[in-house]
Amino acid sequence: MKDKLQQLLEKATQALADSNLIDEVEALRVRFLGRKGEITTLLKTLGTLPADQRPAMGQLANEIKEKLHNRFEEARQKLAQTARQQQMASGTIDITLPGRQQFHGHTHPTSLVIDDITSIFTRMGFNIARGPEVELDYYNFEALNIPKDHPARQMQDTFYVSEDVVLRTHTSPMQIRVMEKQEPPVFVIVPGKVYRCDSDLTHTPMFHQVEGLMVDTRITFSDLKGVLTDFLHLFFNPKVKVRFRPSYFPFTEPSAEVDIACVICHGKGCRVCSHTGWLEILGCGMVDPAVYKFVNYDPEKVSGFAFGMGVERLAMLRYGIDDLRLFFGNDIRFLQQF
Amino acid sequence: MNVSWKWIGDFVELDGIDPVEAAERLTMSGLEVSGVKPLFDPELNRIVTARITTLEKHPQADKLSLCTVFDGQDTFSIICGASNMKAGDQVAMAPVGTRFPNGLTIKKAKIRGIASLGMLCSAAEMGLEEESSGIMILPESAPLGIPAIKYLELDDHILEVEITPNRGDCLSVIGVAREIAALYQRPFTYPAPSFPESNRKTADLVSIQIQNPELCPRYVGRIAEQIVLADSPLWMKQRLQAAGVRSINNVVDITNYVMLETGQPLHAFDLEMVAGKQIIVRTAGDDKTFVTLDEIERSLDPDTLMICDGSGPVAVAGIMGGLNSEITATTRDVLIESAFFQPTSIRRSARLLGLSTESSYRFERGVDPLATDLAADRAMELLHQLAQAEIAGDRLDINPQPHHAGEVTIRTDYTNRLLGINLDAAAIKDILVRLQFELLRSNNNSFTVRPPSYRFDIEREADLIEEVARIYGYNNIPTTLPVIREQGGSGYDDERLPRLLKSIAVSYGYSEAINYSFMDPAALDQLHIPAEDRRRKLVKLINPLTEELSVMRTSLLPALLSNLVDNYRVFHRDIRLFEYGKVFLPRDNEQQPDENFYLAGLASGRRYPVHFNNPDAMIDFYDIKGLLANIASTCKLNFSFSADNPESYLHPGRAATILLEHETIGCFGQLHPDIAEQLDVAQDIFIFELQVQPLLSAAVFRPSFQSIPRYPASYRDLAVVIDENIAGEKLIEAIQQSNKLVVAVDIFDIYKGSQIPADKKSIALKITFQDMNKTLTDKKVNAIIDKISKRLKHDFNGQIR
Repeated sequence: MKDKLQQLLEKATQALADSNLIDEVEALRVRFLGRKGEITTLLKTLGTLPADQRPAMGQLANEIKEKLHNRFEEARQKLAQTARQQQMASGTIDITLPGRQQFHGHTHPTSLVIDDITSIFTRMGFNIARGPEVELDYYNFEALNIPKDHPARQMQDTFYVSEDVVLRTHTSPMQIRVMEKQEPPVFVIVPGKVYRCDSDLTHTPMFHQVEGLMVDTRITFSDLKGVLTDFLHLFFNPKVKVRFRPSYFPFTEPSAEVDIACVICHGKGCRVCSHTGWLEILGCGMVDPAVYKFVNYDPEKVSGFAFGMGVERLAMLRYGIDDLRLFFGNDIRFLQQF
Repeated sequence: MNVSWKWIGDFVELDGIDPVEAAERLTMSGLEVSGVKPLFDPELNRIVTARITTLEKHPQADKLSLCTVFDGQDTFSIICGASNMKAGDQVAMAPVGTRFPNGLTIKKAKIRGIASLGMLCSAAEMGLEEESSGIMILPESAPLGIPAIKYLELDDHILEVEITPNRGDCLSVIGVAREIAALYQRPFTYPAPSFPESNRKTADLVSIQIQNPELCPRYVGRIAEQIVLADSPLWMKQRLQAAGVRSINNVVDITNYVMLETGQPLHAFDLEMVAGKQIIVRTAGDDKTFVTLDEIERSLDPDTLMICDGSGPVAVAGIMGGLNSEITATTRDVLIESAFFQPTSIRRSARLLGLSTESSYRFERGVDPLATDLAADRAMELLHQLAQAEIAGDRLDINPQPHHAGEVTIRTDYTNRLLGINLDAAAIKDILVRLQFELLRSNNNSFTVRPPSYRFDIEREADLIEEVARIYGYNNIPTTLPVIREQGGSGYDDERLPRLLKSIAVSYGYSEAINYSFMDPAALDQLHIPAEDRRRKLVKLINPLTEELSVMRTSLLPALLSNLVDNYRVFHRDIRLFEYGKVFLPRDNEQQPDENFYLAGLASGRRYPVHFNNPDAMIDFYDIKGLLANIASTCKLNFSFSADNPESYLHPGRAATILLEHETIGCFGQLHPDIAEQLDVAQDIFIFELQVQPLLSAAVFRPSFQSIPRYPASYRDLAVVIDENIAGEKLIEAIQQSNKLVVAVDIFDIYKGSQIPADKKSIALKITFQDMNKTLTDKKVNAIIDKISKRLKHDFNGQIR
């Protein structure tokens, strides 16, 4: 029996060496190792051996089975590997051809910038509020300390809907609306559309602003400087030079214009900054006590600041866009760049 | 406002101060200087003083002279076409290489055989006046070889100052000089006019009466007689020109000059034309019209303040004089008006007249009520000097309401608390004194001051704090961060929905458009919006820019369609745009309209980008419906769709209204082919528009979690042939309702054609079954399928294939 087993091993090994197809290997495996295979059949005669020989013979049989099994597996894997390699070689594609894309849309740069501004301020703890664009004269002017015939009204050419109703010329009316509705602390920013009766190369009758208001018991001018400097560093870059200089708004006092070193020429002077090296970025100031009067806040107990900035201007500086009117033309060749 | 640096130097010592550095300090203290420019192109400094040593006629040309010119070092041979010079004259010589602002460059030239090595300049060529009749002859005393501009003391700088509306006191040379004096802590000197007075008394020559003292608290009149009308001298012309004021004649120029210098607008009347030799200051009342000196007839509001003579108005007070009393070539005696008019009255009148002048601009912002007489005297001094006028004695100064400045108190602790600094009282006092505030009282924490008469903007403590801050320097105030206190977050979800909607649209290939909120009312006709539709009620602008931008939009679609056309015209064919924005619908009995956010979009062109293997399909109705379904599922809402009452601008067979809980919230479909044709777009256009507020109210942003099934789902395909006109949705609903284990029904094919009768369609469905509690057996699923088949047969006369 021992010889027979050895013969089978040799026979199978020989047959395996002759076959180079994966199906042949499988057929051989069935022929030798299958349920009705030659080795299985031989082993069925194990019972006819004397009892003392059976364990040794059984062990030998198992060793040979194991050996054969490994050889078959090895051969199968080798052939499978070869087959896969041939298959892959014939499946080579031109990877330089363009990928299959979906049409993808683009967010308007104005929205991108508004999202950026609001996310910076909300991280600082500001809430977002929005308000009417068709606004009462009272909120747009009167309560912001701009009575009728005030020279500051000439700073903003106003669209009128009726004598008492205007298209808001700034987002500032929301300062009043927010303070009317809640007690301090107030930390709010207001993005939105505003309107001025003006249309030329550098003015559009509608544009976007973001307003901010912070009122609490001990807010100082130095806080105003800190918050806005932080914002500008986050929005532009952490190294941009910032300066605050006195200015005038009817609803803040002291008031300031905030300039940053020109992002185009880095302060050397160029066309964009009118050769001053500085870019006017936003207006701000401590809320004027006259405004508190309109909303029944006590200026002896609370203080705070307000600020406003033009979104398109920030977008133009960030992306280097040189024509304001592109923002409202909705030309796909413009939109798809953002 | 443009201000000459040298002119400022008339009132404050500028020695050692660089104009550019001063501009920086002014800017940082609140007077924004947007530019500092040399009065003359530095290139003109090459023009030097020189003397003509010899002069003879050009041998070949009668009209040319051959000059030898000496600049103190070298001698030049120059040919000159002028004839007003002689040997020995001092002149301004431009050597070879000088480039004039008009582009002319002086080159070595040969004129009729003789070389010329430069040019003798006229004042016009140097830009000193508009026209010259010959070259400029300088006094004999002029040293040789120095820049002519410097010799003429025209080596000046112009400061372009932007004055904020609260600082009317700085709308003058004196005003800017006062600021520089305060910043640099240098003494400031007011002009001290001096001139002889004749023995004639002003009161004998004219009378002045103020009928509305609240509108005209002060009126000073002075008379200059026997004036010699002439050109102004070069220095005055130069200063006016630098300030952007055209020179007319010496009298008019002097009124402008004094206004620029002191900030006090003056008006000159031809005394002969003043009827009855009387001036009456009163409101227009029954005078309905008036011709101003720009020869325009103006209609007058009865409350507009007028300057009148014995027979009627001669000027609109503080705004513009009348044609009937202006200075002319024959004027001999001049009445100069220097007045203080109430700012709000001038503002109102100027606005009603639609007229803004240098004069009204200053009166509106407030002029110094204590400098009224000074300005009149300064004008007299100059009229005497430059127009040889005889000045009548004893000015008339009618001052029914003398100026009284109020007191203002500033507290040290409050100032420091508001600014976030720590100044001591002495520092605050020092700043106030530098700014000419009169210190009235003080205690350990406060100062009470009286602001100077020209500082109308100082009324409250806040105004003084701003003064302290700006002089102390904003840059010296530290930067700190406040403690942000809890205030109750709000509006968080309100902001989330728009972001989600926009990002869904972008992911579907739509780019975001932002259009003006204005609309052309004719756009509604173009969309065939019915007359009674709510969108026909419009918020109209009183003062629109154009008719096309004259009302607030009631739909986002017109502008998007116009964006489509614009893009189509530049050969874009695959266009997808959306806009998220407000529409404005008027409300009854409300001043303000409803402002509602809408989301609208349009799509036209290919479904997929051009690519090998991509199907060459065009966008259709179901692309839009899929986008809407995505929006609904993102908001965890169910939209339903109805073919009833389609919008007038949609293809009637490819239109649907969008319903949320039985309320119409929008519509979508194919743009009506008639409208597409009008737009000249030769491809199908699909559009949608829906209200955002209903989504916001109903959307679920915090869905409750459903367990993931532990057991596998089963799937079956089923094809059914039904009548062509049965709505697919009904079929799906019927299957969904047939058994609760049916969790999804998807249509994967719709067939019409030769295999089935002509009025039938075959719908192939994939049905998903899911039991949450156990694995479904084939037997169970088959039983459900049998039930479904029966129902389809019964309800739709359907044939299972």
